[in-house]
Amino acid sequence: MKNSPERMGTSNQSQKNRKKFGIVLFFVFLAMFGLIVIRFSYISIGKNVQHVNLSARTKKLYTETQTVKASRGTIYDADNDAIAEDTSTYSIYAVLDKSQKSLDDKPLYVTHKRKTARILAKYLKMDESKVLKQLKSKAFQVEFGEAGQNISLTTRNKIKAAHLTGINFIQRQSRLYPNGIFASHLIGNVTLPSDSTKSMVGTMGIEKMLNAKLTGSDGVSQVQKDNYGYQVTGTAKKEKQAKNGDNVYTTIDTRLQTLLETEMSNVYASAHPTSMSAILMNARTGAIVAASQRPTFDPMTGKGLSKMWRNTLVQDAYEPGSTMKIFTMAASINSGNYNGNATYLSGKTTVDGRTVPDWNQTGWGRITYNKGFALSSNVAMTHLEQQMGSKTWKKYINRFKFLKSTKSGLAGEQSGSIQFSKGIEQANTSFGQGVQVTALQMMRALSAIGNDGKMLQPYFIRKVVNPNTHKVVMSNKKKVISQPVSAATAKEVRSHMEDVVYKSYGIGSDFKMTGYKVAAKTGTAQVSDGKAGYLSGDSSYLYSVAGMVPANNPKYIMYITMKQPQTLGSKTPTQLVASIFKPVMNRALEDDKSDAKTTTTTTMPTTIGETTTTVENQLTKKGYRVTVLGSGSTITAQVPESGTTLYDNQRVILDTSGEKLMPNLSGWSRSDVVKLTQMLKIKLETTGSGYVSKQSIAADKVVNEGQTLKIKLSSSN
Amino acid sequence: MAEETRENDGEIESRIDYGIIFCVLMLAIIGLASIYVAASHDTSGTSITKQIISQLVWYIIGSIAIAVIMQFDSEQLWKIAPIAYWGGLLLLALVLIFYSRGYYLQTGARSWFAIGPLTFQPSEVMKPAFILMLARQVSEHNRDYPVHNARSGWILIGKLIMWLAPVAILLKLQNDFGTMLVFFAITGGVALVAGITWKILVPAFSAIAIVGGTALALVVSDAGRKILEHVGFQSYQFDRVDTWLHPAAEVSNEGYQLWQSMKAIGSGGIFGTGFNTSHVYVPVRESDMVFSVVGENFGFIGGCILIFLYFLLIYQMIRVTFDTKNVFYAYISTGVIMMILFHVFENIGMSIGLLPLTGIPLPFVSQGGSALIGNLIGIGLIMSMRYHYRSYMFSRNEKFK
Repeated sequence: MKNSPERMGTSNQSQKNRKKFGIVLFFVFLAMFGLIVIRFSYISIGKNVQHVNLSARTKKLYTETQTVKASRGTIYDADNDAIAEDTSTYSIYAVLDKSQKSLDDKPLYVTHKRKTARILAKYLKMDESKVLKQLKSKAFQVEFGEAGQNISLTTRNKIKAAHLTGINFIQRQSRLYPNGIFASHLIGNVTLPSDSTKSMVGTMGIEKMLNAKLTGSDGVSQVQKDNYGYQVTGTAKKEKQAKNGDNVYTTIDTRLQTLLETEMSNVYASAHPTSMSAILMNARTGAIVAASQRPTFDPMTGKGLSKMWRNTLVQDAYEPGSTMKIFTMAASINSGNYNGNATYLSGKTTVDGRTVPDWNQTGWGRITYNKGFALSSNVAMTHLEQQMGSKTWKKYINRFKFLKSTKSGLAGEQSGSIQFSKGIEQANTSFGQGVQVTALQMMRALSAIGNDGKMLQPYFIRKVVNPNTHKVVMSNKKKVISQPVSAATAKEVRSHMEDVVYKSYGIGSDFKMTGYKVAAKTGTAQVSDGKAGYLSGDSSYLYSVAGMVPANNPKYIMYITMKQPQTLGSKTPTQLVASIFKPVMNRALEDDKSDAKTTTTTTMPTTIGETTTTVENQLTKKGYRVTVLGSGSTITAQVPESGTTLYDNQRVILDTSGEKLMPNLSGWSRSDVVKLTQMLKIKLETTGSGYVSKQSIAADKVVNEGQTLKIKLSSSN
Repeated sequence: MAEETRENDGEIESRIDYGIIFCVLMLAIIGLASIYVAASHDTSGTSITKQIISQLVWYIIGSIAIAVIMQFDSEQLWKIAPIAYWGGLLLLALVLIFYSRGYYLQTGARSWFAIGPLTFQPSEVMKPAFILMLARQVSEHNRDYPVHNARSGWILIGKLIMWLAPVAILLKLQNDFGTMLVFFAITGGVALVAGITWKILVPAFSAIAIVGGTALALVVSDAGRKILEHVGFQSYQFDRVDTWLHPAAEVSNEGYQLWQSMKAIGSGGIFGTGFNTSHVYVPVRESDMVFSVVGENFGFIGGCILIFLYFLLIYQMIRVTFDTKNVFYAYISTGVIMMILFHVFENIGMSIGLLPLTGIPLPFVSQGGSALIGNLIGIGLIMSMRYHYRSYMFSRNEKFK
């Protein structure tokens, strides 16, 4: 009985406490119940919580607002094919924490580390041991750096097919550049948002320049919800429409741009110059048809971006060298100072006690100024500058709008600079030293020579269209800025430029083309070492060419620079430049010819639901390349969309029902193949650039959804 | 003894507390009705009948437990107390290892065993065991220290904390903050009646009030939160406070539940929408948010009736506490009252945005077997007092003869 409660006795203190506590408890209890009742009545009768009316809230009960993402505008080429458009990419992460299990106790973490590492290494193109090391870390979950980001749908599906536990993907809005490396610095790229509520931001080129227009504005929609918060179908009510970003239509010609990229890559790979740039402009309108630079980058992966951030079209001001002589010549002729048949002693001359040498310092004896231009004589230019006087020369520099921004709208545009105080400096500028210009300024000035004295505003954006209202927000057309020289002067300069190519003594014979007369001026400028002097040695020059074809009435102007080639091989730098110039110029002119035959532009009709054979015959008759998929009698899908402007020889793909056979893709462009694969719902892997030369699924083989098509692209010329 | 037995037979009616049974029965009916409403409006894996039947089965099991516990007199309870306490503590420790992974993912607390379809929360049945042990400790203490001075008071407080600490630590490890608070409330209540001198109680409870007030001030102010984050609090713990303070501000995660609950109660109005008519979905309304069902279906009137039932129940339990001459019983009933009272206040309080959200069920109404058993055992303890009251009186009288 030691522990029996009877022996405890009742203490007075305890009993008193108990009584008091009981009473206190009772009243506290009453007070709290009172409080609850007051609060309760406040809610259920007053229907008001913190100034928020519950009745109003109850009405809103079944509706929920959702953000509707606006899609970023598409950037189109001259034929209205997409150069940049919205798409989805994926990023991958692996869950390692062993506590991650599903409700039915299945593991949601990486269970087979070796196998997972092997598969991930294969598809993410990473080192297997590196992946394994990450998978063995103690972290809750790991990502795989740059390799684990921006994974395409194709790659994601491949990894998914391996059924690895603990491997997950996050879908993200992304930007698709279907052509890969394609005027990359001009078109630009975007940074992807860190979370899905934000939008992509253009960081370069047109993407940056027109970011505000491309972005659009997100909308808000109200969705009706049932009791459980599920959406009631068909009740989505848009409170604020998402406004998709404006579409940008550029002047870039995909065929020419692709060819230019291929040729640039070839030269870049063989000669290893520090940088290159090339621009092709329509001489009659000022439209930039193709523009490229090296080093470049792939906007899809960002690969190569670290080498060159600047858009050399407008962001690099450099000494142009001998191509500047075109304008010295024009100034001299237009100011009435030029006497082409007068002679001078070539080789060297002195200005202010300083020697001005020709590139061939022994010279060619006493020669005419006409010949001096064709031989790219610095001495001749120095004399011309002195004859017209520095004031007149400066006036012409200003007339050609050197030192004035082209106002292209691209970020970081330079306007150039000049050293023009002393006589020797003034003389130097006559052959392109001591004056810094941008490539686009050069194009603008060249347009005056190519377009019979009327200088054109270079442009690369045709129009910006609001996709919701179809209103043109902004448009550019041919625009004459001014007339720095007369038409006669321009013609005369061009004939001198012809001499550069066609005279026996001319130094531009590499630029001869079959079927067309070429007017060109080459340049070889010493590269400034960034201080006061110039670099010396073979690989210290900037090689350039400015050419116009056909010489008597130019259709295209092309300007190419190549800085400091390292390995020349069997070709001279000029030959390397010509190997870009000629094929691109040739195709531009050939395309123009075929365009001229069918000037009537047609738009793609709506063919869905129509009879296959009828449509096929109609479109083929009009000169389009029609590919029909399947054997059905009515069309179920079409590319391009109805209303799209069709150009000559455009590829039209029509989808019907039935078994699908792989078409012969030989000569197809990459973007056409992309459209085909989207239609066939197959995956695509490409290598190389240019046009299709090989295809992994042979022509007329049956294609099934989900298959992978590998194509090899190569330059067709 | 023969006389006594006869007397027991005749008086058995009066030895059973029908008031308490009436209250619990009414609450059970309200509970079953609410679960039916919740189950028929929410698409869950289990069928409506299954949910109702399983709740009924738990009531029957609980009633059997009451009947069994009523057979124990205070002496037997005294002996059982340590066994129950240590056994319960063992279960609390075991659940840390063998907790149900599925429930952990859902709730973030490691406090359920799951054997097949059956789930069991040991902390719920630990509550009555803990009450028994505390009552025994206080009784023993008061026997050993008949004089109630400051010293003996401090020693008792030390003992209370000592018995509370392992439970609190294990619950903290289970990540079950709400249940931990219940144990604090029980301990606080028992401490108040334990005969500790007011010289300690008043300063001690004011100190707790000050600490609590300061903590609240810290949590509510931005500067205070920075300090707390340095001490090791997590930001999600503030989320609950934010939800409580500004229910309309953030209605996506934490706040959603509260906001839905208030909307449900609001839509009920004075008379309610009627039985089984629900317009507002409230997450887990069969369990923690069951008051919203009552509020919506039966309105202000229905809610008040429910609150009045609790009032009635607790009033009767307090009466029992007053009536008993046995201090051990008095401490037990105090613990049980505190337990049920805290549950009721915290649960209804959080449903109407008066108190922060914690996962505490409404006694006798919410779905959930373990909690029901725990509370019914508490009722059993109270009823056993009334049941043994007379025999206790007789035995006592005999002793004094």
